[in-house]
Amino acid sequence: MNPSTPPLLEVRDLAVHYPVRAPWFFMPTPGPKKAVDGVSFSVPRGQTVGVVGESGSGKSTTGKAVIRLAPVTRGAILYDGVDLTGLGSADFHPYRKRIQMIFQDPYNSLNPRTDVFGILSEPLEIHFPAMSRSEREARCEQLLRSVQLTGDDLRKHPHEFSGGQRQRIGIARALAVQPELIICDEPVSALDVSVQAEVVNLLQDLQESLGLTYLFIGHDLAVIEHVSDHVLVMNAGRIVEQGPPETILRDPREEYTRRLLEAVPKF
Amino acid sequence: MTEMPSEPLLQVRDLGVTFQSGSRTTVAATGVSFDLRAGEVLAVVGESGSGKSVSSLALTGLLPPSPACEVTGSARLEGRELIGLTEDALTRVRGRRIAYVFQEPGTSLNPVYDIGFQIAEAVRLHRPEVRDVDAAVLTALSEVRIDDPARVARSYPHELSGGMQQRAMIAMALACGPDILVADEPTTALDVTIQKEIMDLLARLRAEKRMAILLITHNFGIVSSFADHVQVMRNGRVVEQGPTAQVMHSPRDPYTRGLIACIPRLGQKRRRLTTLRDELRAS
Repeated sequence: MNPSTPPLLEVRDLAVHYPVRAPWFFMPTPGPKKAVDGVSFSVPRGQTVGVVGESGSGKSTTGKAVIRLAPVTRGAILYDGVDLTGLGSADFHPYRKRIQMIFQDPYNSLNPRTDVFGILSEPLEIHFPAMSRSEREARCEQLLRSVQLTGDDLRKHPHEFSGGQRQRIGIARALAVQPELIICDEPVSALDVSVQAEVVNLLQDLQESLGLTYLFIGHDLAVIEHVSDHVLVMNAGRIVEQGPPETILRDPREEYTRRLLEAVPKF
Repeated sequence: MTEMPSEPLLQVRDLGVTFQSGSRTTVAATGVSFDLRAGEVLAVVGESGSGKSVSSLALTGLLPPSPACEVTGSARLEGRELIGLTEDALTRVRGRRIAYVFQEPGTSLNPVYDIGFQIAEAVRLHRPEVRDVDAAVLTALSEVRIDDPARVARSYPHELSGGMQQRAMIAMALACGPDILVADEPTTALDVTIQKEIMDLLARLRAEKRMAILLITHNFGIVSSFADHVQVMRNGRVVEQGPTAQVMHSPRDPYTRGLIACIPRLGQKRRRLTTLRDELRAS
């Protein structure tokens, strides 16, 4: 990491606590569920920070907190030097364009009743209201080509595509508004290995050509090692250890990371 | 395995599954043949839609009835033909001889009954001779290394973690004392650490009970550490089969080679992942 340029995203002591209701009104309220509890890391511009951990480790919640899909209890989220946690919703609006998200399940993250043009042009209508319909159409065709689909696919609906193609549409939707940071929440976990390789390569090509920054959340250690410049290992809402993949995933200092690595079947 | 080549428990020859929907015919599997011996693990690998699950479902008639679905070919369990058996006869095969564990324990378990009730139901149906059903339930739960079987038996599925739910599913399969366990992506929905526990458990059960396992998976890591034989499927056909070490280390078919090549491996960081397309183009 280059210390002279400030990171695009810097998270300091982030906590996301969910209140837990008592099972019955007369019982004492239990303490909050600490989904994320004191997490600090930074994401340099143009790089990929990978987050690994088991279910319930808080890795997805950390990503969601950055774009307000999870409530921040404590801590600061500095994006390009501005603390996002203190912003009102109008002031936060431009950051919804600069930060986009790709979801795990390509089957559930696209509206089944809208065609691909509708899916891709909705973010354009919100963030580029001055664009005419024909401009939007041209932009959507170009987006589809950038994820290796064709302009003919614009009039199709999500059910007409395979899982890998749907994930490409999800990627195109995230790219539509020209974001800087993309939070990739398990983008290849639901895909076949052959499709996984293609989507990972696509994400890396796009990063190179568009200068994108990724926060890449996953549970497959080999995928995380492959894509990441820097890795965070999370467990129970905290970062267990972090560093470059060569040291973290080959010579871990923490027992927890070692156990994760040992559980991966070798061949 | 280096044992005497015993008579196969299950002999499948030229099995085919065809789905008929209106005027459209889809061949889901064709020409599938394999032998499965007691205590042996056969892994069936392939991508979604390759037909890897459908042929195992055909063994016990777990597919829609004719004419929506036609099953052809032969599957002999200790010499007895399974294909074409009546529903009554199949019920005696299911669970008792061939039991299944599926991918998503959360959707396979009934949310409104406790675990003990669901295992007991399987025991009553498939092993009516068992007198003390409650004892059989507890035995099954302790066989899958559940420390507190009585508590788990009283639990509802939502009270258990994914790993515990899958153990409960395996316990349910074991409670019927099957000769063959079909494990259809048993760990796909689970974390790696839990995956390891479940696979270790299956390995122990196969050793202790000489149970044969038909393991359907897309994870080559699991295949190489667990299976004796591998069958690779693509578009309903078997493209390659053989002993695990041979298929993993010197695959003959370009498709198998491609599938293995496109998996990122820990400690072998490359600039770019090989895709199936790269590999098929190269050959």
